[in-house]
Amino acid sequence: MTDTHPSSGSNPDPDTDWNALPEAEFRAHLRRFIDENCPQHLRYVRRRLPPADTLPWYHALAAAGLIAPGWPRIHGGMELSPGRHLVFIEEMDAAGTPWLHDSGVRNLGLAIIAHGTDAQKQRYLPAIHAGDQIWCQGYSEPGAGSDLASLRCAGEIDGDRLTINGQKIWTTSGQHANHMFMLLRTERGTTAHRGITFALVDMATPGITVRPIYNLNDEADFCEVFFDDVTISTDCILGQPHDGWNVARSVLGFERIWAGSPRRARHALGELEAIVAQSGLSGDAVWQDRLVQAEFDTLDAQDLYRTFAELITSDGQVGTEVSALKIFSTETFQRISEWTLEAAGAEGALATDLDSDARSAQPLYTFFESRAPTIFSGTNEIHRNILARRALGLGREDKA
Amino acid sequence: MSVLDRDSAALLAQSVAIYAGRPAGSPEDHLAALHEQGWLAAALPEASGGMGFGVDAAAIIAGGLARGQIGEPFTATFLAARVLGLAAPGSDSAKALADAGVLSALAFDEAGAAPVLANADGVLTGTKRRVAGAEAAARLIVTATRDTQPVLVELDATAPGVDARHARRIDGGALTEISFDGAKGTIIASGDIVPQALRQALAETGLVIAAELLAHCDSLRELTLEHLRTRRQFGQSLGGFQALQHKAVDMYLGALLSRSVLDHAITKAAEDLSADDLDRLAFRARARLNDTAMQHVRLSMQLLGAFGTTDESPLGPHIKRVVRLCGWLGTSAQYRARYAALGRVATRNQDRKVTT
Ligand SMILES: Cc1cc2nc3c(=O)[nH]c(=O)nc-3n(C[C@H](O)[C@H](O)[C@H](O)COP(=O)(O)OP(=O)(O)OC[C@H]3O[C@@H](n4cnc5c(N)ncnc54)[C@H](O)[C@@H]3O)c2cc1C
Repeated sequence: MTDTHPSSGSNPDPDTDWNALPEAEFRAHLRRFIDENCPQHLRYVRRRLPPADTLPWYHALAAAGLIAPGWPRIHGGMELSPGRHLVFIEEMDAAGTPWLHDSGVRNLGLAIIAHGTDAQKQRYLPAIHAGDQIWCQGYSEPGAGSDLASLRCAGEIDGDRLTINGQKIWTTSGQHANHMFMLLRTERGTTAHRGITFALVDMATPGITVRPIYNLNDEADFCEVFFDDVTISTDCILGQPHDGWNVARSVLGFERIWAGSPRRARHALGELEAIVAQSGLSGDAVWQDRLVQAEFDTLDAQDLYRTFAELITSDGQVGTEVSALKIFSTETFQRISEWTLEAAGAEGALATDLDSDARSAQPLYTFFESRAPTIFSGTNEIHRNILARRALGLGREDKA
Repeated sequence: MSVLDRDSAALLAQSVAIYAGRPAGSPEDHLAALHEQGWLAAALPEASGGMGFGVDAAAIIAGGLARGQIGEPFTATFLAARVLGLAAPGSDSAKALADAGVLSALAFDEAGAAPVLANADGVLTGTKRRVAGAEAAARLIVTATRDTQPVLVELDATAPGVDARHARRIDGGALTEISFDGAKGTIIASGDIVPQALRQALAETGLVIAAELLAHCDSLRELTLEHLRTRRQFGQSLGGFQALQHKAVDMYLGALLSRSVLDHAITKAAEDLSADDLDRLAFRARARLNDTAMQHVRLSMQLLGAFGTTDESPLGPHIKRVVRLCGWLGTSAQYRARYAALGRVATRNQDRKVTT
């Protein structure tokens, strides 16, 4: 497989400075590329397709140096500024390109670049870039959700072997991934954040069982994953043993701003507009007002996103205030999806046709879909807790 | 109209803050100080004796003054000065404002009253309502119709035939209804420039009001946070209760969002926008700031408990001013309706058009 498509470093011109290109040109380049390389049957698909279907498109992106917008150029990335990154996402969304199982690119890659040994960089980065390795994220457990540091999935280090026993849950793409990056409890009795190890696991290792879980939209987007005496080499530990919490935290930068991107709200706005028209409500003053409210909230979220995109430093770090963006964007998405469902009336209860063109409005689908972003990437309640403590300094008086 | 660079903006903000932090003097002293600083006429072009500053400077000044609860008469004067600057920069009123700090008030709103008509000599009949800043103003700037032409007329506030009735506002100022019964003024502009200037000035003043609102939000929030940190109940500070923490965060979130929206709108307003696009920005910013300010009023009062409902709490002056500002030139619902009339744009250029 590896020799049928180019791999990492094959960016035709690694010196391309995508940020310096005028925005219109950048957009035009992407549009042309998508037109020529992303087949029609992959466009505007509502379901998340399995990697087997989307890999040719993944490979085309990789070959053109477009697969890793956030990575440094020396690793075959585009090194896009956050603002440009949004443009990139907008163009991909607008053209209906399919969701990719690219957690390796989006989440793991930067952690390896920051914490990996040279051998690990060699081993993983080109394979991620080429699409040979599909990664999933194994953090959450049945007993460890918001309180992630209480995780118990055990890793026992014995010489150069690491043996894993326990369970992960809500693992996105778990059934499709051939690798998992995960957090393990390798020391007990220390403070919660110590004693956690960040491990890189080949899912083909004996002892791993994966069970898909279906959501209310009847999609198996996430899984539970069981580990029964799964033994790997300690070469697979990223960063120092027992220091995995810091490794995991260090890659949250862009993830945190990305989680607050208003792209979902924007799409929901188009859907609201369509359903209001379809339901014959366009002339109704109440719905006119809601449409403007929805537009204001979406544009305001976009302004806030830009503010943070301008603030984010080149190493991807942003302040705690960015939690505000995540809260507002995800709650806007929910509000709009609720209005859309209401505008649809009795038809709102129609079961979603998952095979329909994703451009056709599916109020119920969006309503359910919009429930998740207030939960993942830190629930909104947890983000409010963080802001209260760190941005407003509340709740500390009694501990001083 | 010039845009302030970062350093000048910081300097201006600093000098306004220093001024607003001083104990309040009499209204006359306040007015004299505003004039001396050049802030009153800042929006007038340099050729008329002003500074040629734009809405960015006005927002800084208004926000800074609002912190000291001395927003009047700056914002009302900005509205009049901006109309003068755009439509009649050579008028006597513009000169008087720039040279001597003589205040003008703009009368543009008829709200169902008998429309103001002008004859060729600038003699006015009719009624204007909801005039802001009229109590302190020596000059009136009036929009009127002559035959079918829109005109702008200036006259002395005390000219014969002018009858002003002031209704007391909660924040101390007045909403004034002014009837003109053969009052003699001077036509200082006529034709399309009058509605154009008025439209632009109203949009820009909307942004300046938004800046004032944001400053009041900041004050209300700081007072609330201070209370949460210091007030103790059930053996702990209120700030330790998660229900209250989340309410405080919602205020913080609203203000962060509002600041970002307003900053972008003000930056964009300095670009060469179409009248429609300037309106869209201003309407959206005002709707956001109105809503955030009312949220701050609601939550700050609730979180201060009984004290928050009194005229003795430090929230009071800010709350009163917010209530005034939220209805000035438009409520959120009115701004949304005006925006709908202009046409929504967010999904207009979306390639991925949702079809049904
Ligand atoms: C679509 C989707 C995909 C996901 N993908 C992955 C993945 O790939 N890998 C992975 O590891 N995880 C994944 N997750 C899991 C996600 O990270 C967790 O759902 C999240 O951390 C919350 O944990 P929980 O679901 O156990 O809820 P809980 O932590 O049990 O929370 C339940 C409720 O209580 C509230 N709550 C909890 N603690 C507090 C508190 N201190 N104060 C106030 N309120 C509180 C929460 O906000 C929430 O409303 C995914 C989740 C979703 C929905």
